Amino acid sequence: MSRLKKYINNVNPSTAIPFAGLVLVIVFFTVISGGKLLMRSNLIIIMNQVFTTLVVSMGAVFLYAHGGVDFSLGSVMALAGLLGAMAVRVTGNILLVLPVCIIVAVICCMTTGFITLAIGIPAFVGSMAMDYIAAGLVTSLVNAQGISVPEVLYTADSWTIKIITLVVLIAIMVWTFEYTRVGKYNKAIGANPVAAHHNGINTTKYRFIAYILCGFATGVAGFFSLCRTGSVSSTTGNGLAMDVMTALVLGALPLSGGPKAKMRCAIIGAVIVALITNGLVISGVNASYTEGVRGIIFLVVVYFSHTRKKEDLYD
Amino acid sequence: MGREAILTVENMYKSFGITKALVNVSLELRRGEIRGLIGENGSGKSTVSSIVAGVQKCDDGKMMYLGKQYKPDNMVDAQSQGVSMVVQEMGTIPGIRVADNIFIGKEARFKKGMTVRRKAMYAEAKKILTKIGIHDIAPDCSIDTLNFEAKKLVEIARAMYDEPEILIIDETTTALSQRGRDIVYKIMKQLQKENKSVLFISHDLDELMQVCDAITVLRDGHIIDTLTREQMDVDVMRSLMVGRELEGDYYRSDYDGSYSDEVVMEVNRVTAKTVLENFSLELHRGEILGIGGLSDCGMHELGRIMFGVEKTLTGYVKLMKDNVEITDPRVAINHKIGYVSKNRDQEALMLQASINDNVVLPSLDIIKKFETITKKNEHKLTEKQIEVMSIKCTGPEQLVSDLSGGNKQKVVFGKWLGNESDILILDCPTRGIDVGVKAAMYQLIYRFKKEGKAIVMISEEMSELIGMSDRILIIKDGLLSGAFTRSKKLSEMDIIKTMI
Repeated sequence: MSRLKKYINNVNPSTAIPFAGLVLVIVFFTVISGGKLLMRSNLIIIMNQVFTTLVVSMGAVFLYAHGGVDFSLGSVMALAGLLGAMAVRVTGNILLVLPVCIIVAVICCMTTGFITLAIGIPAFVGSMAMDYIAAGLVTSLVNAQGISVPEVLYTADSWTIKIITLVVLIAIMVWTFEYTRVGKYNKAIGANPVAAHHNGINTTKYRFIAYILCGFATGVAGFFSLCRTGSVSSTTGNGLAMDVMTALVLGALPLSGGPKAKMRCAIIGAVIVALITNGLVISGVNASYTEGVRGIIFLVVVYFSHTRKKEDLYD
Repeated sequence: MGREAILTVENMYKSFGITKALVNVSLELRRGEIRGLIGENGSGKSTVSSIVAGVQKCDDGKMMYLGKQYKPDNMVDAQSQGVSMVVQEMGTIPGIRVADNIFIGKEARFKKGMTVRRKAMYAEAKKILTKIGIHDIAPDCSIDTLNFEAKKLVEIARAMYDEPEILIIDETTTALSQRGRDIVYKIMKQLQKENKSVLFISHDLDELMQVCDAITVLRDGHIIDTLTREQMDVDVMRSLMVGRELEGDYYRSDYDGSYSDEVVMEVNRVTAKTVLENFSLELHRGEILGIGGLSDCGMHELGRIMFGVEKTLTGYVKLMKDNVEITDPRVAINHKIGYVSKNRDQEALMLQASINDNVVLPSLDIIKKFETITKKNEHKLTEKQIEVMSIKCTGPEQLVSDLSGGNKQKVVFGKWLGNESDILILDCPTRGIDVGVKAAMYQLIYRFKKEGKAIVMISEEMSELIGMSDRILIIKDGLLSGAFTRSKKLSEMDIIKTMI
């Protein structure tokens, strides 16, 4: 017993809390839904939800690590998927879809990056502007012509392909974030931008790289979203930016960025968010309330991570 | 003496994190007394006085003032009770007029309906300035048009307006000319005559001996002794301040002062945005070059320019070996220049990150293998620096925010040693560091010199400059105003003369 106590004392709370949260969410919704949560058919739905949030979150970690924020990711993902679909309609070349999705999303995020880094408009304002621009483009393009994709694209929506993609993506993102200068410098910028500059870090360059990586991940997510649903509508990607932010916060990533940002925050956080979203639905909570409940959860988590940081400051 | 006590401090404790700033400090200030407070930086003298003035609160202990328990909520509260302080740093608010500065927070006294009667305010300001013997500062001129000394005098006028029972003067006179000092001395004598009290903090021991009735010595947060007029002696005070065990090799002991002829870095006719003007210097291999002056004379700016953090308007900073101009910290670091900032916590460290994260940051380019940086390689570098610098910590993953000031500074030094820097630009390297660690820092800086590194040491402490430098350059208002070479005979007065 005393050994167990000692072990518990040695566990880093910022690692342990998200895991405890995960277990809590699973137990809670399993009980509430009468076991429906863990049924095979439901697990597949959850996995699909996890996939999109997780892929985008892993890119967004780079932004949040340097203290950035992005509200445009949902619309950007929709626009990327839409232009990917249009590319195949125009050219008939199926191989163009993925590259077009990625390029469109990267260009969008680079634009947000440019607005923030070169013009100096705060990231949340710049990304909101991008959100409106991308959403506006999606709406007008969808209205102009119905979007449908060749059936062959649906074959990419297989779990073999998705899991391989996920494993490769996690490996690349963990390596880039935890073992290269890109991740380490972005954390340093989040911790103290002045000190980062004094340590010879080109803060503009590395923050810009974070935007590119975020765009890359969003493009990949846009491609798979297109493959799964076969179409893009004006509701595609709705709430994604908020889901990503909630996932990162639930994964114990401080919103101010810095060295406590870890890639595992994205992974564990994305799973929790998907479980909560799905759990609320299968527990029979009225769909019109789920948004509100998620908003409250988000607020509560931010509150706790925020007060914790305040104590740190007063030490 | 033998008069009644106006203020007593009993068993006061104060800690900042794990740094104990005050330990069981008890003090009695009597009516009509001018009390000197001396000690090295970080000895706790400013902490005591700021607690008395209501700037911060003590952790434990109590104060009695005018026979009653005294616990000021803030500076304004202390002022209204009759305790005013003139601070070490610039305490005036830029962009507004002299009179506004004097009556800041007290404008209500001149209220008429919804407006402030400016004329009455100016007249009142003029009155108080005249009363303390300042005739050449117009109350309606902008504070920005005044120089450092005049601003300090305005601050003193502000403190005097409330007719304080206790006036605290924290290292103000070092920045003043003889005329300014005379005004301050006159005010102090006047208060003494009125049976009020002064708490006077200064580094200038001769000055303290002239004006004080008694001098209290602090070291590492402890009260060491209180000397009466008869007991006052510069050597006694200095050894009490530093602590006997450190005597002899506190600074370097040699008076050799030689260095290589090889110039490693050149500052050529640099003019900067704020004060520095057409300034040149040459830094040699194996040299400790001391740079001194008043706080805002341009010396800190010079350090930032030499590291590329701040841009020059004209002129350049050149590294001889690679014939490269320093325009950005990245260039400086790539060419083995390290910089210890004066504002350590704001500019040099990531407080919420580990020792390891901080130490390896400028060296990631060196330790990466196939673009990959492993924890193992990071720790190898960090553990070596923890050992070399003898950083007191639980291990490389301890957070920097948990360390004491001295150990934080060691982390900053370790960063540049790990990076194998050849040139070190140190801006106030021992600021806020306790005496023991300070001595270790001096030994370390001396070792760098012996290893052939070139060191620029910018400092506001005369004793440190004299004790460590091979050569000292003094800057005044952005221009070179004095140059000294290492010598046993060099005194603080010689240097101060060229500063003001």
